[in-house]
Amino acid sequence: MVAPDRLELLFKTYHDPLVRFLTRQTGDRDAAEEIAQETFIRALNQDEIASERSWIFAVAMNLVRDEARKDMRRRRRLELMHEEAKSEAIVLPGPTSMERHDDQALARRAIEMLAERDRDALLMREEGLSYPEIASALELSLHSVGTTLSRARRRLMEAYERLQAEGSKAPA
Amino acid sequence: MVDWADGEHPDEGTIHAWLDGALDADESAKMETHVDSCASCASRVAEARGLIAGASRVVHHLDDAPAPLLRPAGTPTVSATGSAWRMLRVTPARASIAAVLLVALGITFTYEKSGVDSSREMSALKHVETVVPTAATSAPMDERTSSVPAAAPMAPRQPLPMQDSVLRSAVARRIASEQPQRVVEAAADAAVPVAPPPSVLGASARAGVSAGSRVTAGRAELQVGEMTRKTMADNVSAAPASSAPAGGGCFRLESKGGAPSEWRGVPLPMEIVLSSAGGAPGDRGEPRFAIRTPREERAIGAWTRSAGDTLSLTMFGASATTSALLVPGGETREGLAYVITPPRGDAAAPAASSERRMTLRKDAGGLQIVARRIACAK
Repeated sequence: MVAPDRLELLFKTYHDPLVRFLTRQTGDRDAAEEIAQETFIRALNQDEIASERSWIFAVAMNLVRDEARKDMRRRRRLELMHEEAKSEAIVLPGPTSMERHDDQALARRAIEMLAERDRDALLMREEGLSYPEIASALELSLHSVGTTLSRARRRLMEAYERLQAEGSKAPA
Repeated sequence: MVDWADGEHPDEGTIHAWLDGALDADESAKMETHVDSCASCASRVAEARGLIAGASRVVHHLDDAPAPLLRPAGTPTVSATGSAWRMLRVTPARASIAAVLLVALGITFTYEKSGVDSSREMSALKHVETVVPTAATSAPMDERTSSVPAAAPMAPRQPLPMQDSVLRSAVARRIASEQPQRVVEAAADAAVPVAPPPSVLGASARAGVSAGSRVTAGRAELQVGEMTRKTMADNVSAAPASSAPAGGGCFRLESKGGAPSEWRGVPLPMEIVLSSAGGAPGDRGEPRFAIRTPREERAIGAWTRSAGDTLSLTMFGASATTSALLVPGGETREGLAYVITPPRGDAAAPAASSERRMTLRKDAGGLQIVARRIACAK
């Protein structure tokens, strides 16, 4: 079992980036928090963790997948978004918040268009994971990390720009 | 990592690895030399830089808080299907700014054991027994959970400070001054079970305590009803209570065998600190119990153990229940628990404390304290 002091340090070091990573993954802050908690609980039960950051992100990512399979929360979120979309159609928020909302929605749609592994690699990189850490977490060869990241970035930008273009063509 | 031969061009992955600083010095030097002399590669590098920056920007858009939506009358609210956090848009970061409910349990314990070798202790124990003449304290010792580690000798060979009227403020001050501020959020749906989750129980069991007995025995007692004793505002000054907004969450604090108490309009997040004073007021000894929860807006449980004591804490940021379990390493401990509330949104209002006498018996599985979020509706 990881010593309490060690666990506390792990928590302090990785909690915030992990929650951010998971929120970006799931689009759901509550789910991200829960998965992060579960990740640290699992860390607590580990005898030893060799590469902490990649271990934590890999475990969290697997939990995301488990969660996605259950899909309950996601369905609830979609229902929520549906309700919000309905109210949005009736009452328009101010332009600034609308723009931010648009950016986020576009980014969310674009990121969800990526292949799972590309998305994982990109979001891990954005949290500062090194190439070896990403390789370890995703069980990739070191050389493949650059290829995966370059593909993820390119596809993300293509998707985002396409969605932007579609949005600007839509009737006001 | 570089895999392009002389005379060829690096692939896109290698360019990204270079820009990400993932190539070693030799590879980087080779890359630099090549890009300097290859116009097409220089252009690909520029494009890669754009992709890296652009993708990073898009990823950061994911962090934008959703715009608050104005709802026409009759539109279902978020609360119908979402969590209270979502409804209130209380993010942990915001919540951490709010004042805390400081539940400080300054627990000063002593052993009740045979062969007490000090008349001072004997006299103190007599005091305890007059206050707590319970079945729990008189239960035969052979009912003890055999898996509980034997009590190791501990330090509390000091006068029982529970008789000292100064202790209450001393303990609270000590908690406020010596413990880092630890913030724990208890939130969300109300249907989460009180018992610690299996993973934590499992950890506790490995620590040598029968997890099952902890959650089922339920014989730890809180003997004295809540009573407000004195203001404690000075003692909890480290907590940002005075900046608390009005309103907030409502919680029910429960302990095994004890009457629950409700705390309404408590600013969030609430903080739970469990600590045992090291001895008499002013004693600089380390707390024998301490919950080490990080100061961040979320916390998970961790514990320190000393002299056979077991303390486990279950805290799930997004769940309804926060609980702490205190299992004495000795046979029986007596002490006072201090529950301190901050001002409720009004800086002028004093914080209050309440105290309870408690009996912890290791054969009863210790004391579990649970903070449960409840609906605020009256």
